[in-house]
Amino acid sequence: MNKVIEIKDLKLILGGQTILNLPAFSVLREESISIMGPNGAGKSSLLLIMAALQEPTQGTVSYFGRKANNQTLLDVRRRMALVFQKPMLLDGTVLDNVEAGLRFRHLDRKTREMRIHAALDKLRISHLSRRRARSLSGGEAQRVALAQALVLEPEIIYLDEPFANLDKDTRQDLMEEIRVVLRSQRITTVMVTHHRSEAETMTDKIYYLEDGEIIGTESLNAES
Amino acid sequence: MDLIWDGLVKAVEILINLDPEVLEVCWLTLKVSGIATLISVMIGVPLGCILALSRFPGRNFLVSLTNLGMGLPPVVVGLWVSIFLWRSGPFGSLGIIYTPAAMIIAQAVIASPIVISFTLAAIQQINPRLRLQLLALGANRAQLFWGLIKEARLGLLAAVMAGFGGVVSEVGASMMVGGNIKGMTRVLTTATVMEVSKGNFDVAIALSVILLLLAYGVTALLTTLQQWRSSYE
Repeated sequence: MNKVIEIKDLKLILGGQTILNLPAFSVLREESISIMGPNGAGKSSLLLIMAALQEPTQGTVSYFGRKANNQTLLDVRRRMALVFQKPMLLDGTVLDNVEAGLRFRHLDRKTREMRIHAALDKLRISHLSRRRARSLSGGEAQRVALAQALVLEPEIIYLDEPFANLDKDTRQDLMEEIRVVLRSQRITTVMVTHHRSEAETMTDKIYYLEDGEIIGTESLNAES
Repeated sequence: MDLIWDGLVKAVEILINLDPEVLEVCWLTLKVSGIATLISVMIGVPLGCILALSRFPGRNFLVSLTNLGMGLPPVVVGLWVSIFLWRSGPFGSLGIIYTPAAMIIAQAVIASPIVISFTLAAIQQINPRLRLQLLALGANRAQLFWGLIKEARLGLLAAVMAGFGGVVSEVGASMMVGGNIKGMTRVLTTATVMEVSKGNFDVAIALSVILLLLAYGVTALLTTLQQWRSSYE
């Protein structure tokens, strides 16, 4: 399997503090991994770097076998999607939000409608399509954020504690649904979580991060 | 009190009779200040966004300069624009001194820092995560810019209102670069000053009431636009 993300000698230093220090780290195509660790371990920063939204202080990051530069950065970003822990939805309807990324890619109307329908159906939020996104409950907003990402049909999806703000029942249901979608579409998945149960349900491998360094890995049963 | 009452009566008379001279002055006031505001928005919104979103050496200096510019005395702007537009000035060959074009330029100079500062504040108030969200969705520079503008639209409409309010009420610059020429560069503020200097206080009060009504009308329209979206959310 080829590496879709390859990190070498990466350091992220912010305000004089070393946030990340990764001599080597990679994600393989169709792999699904979790990153676990205490608060402040650098998990979200690592996700932002992998999503090409933050530049490391030093070291290299290769995306899909190539180093990104200013010309290719946008193309790289458009092959990936990121779901934040607290959804930052745009000020518009659910439909506007789910459509935003497709519009950015200048996809034609028919394709947009087809993909939006499919994504809303998958996340069971078709009935919310005309609602103002910022009037939704936490669970609904999280589903919209996931739809916003899945509609892009990304090659890699980054999930930053996507179930953290949900109640137990919603979390379990949504986790199962998302797992099925990600597996069926063979989307490479990188998820940050604090919960081992989420890592076990959603991914095949856990990386343990502490003080910006990977201190261990653990393989999980893919079918668990 | 009689003076105020006479002025109010005169204002009603002018409005009822649709005095062509006053209508012309009103129209020119709207046209000059409207175009000047539009120009200041075209200059100020992009500059405000750049100042809000980028970090470069000298940025803080530019922000302070813009904030200082919000308090630019119109008379000073009028003087400098005049110097540039006089026949002997660097742009004298344009021959636009004492024309509405010169007034538009002067008013745009006054309104631009106001629009820049309000835009800067409006964009900076947006949750920084929204910028990341837009980039994560695959927005290019222009799409990111437009996405943030849409998000900050309430603040930007406030910028437009402040810019328009700043120029429709100024008199110093319009007087200096326009000259208050009847039928050509006379606007409500310069006409009011002139009537006061002639001792026609009732007409001056009438003109000031009309100016207030005009300013209120435009601001009310913009406020309706501003509040329309937020009211049903």
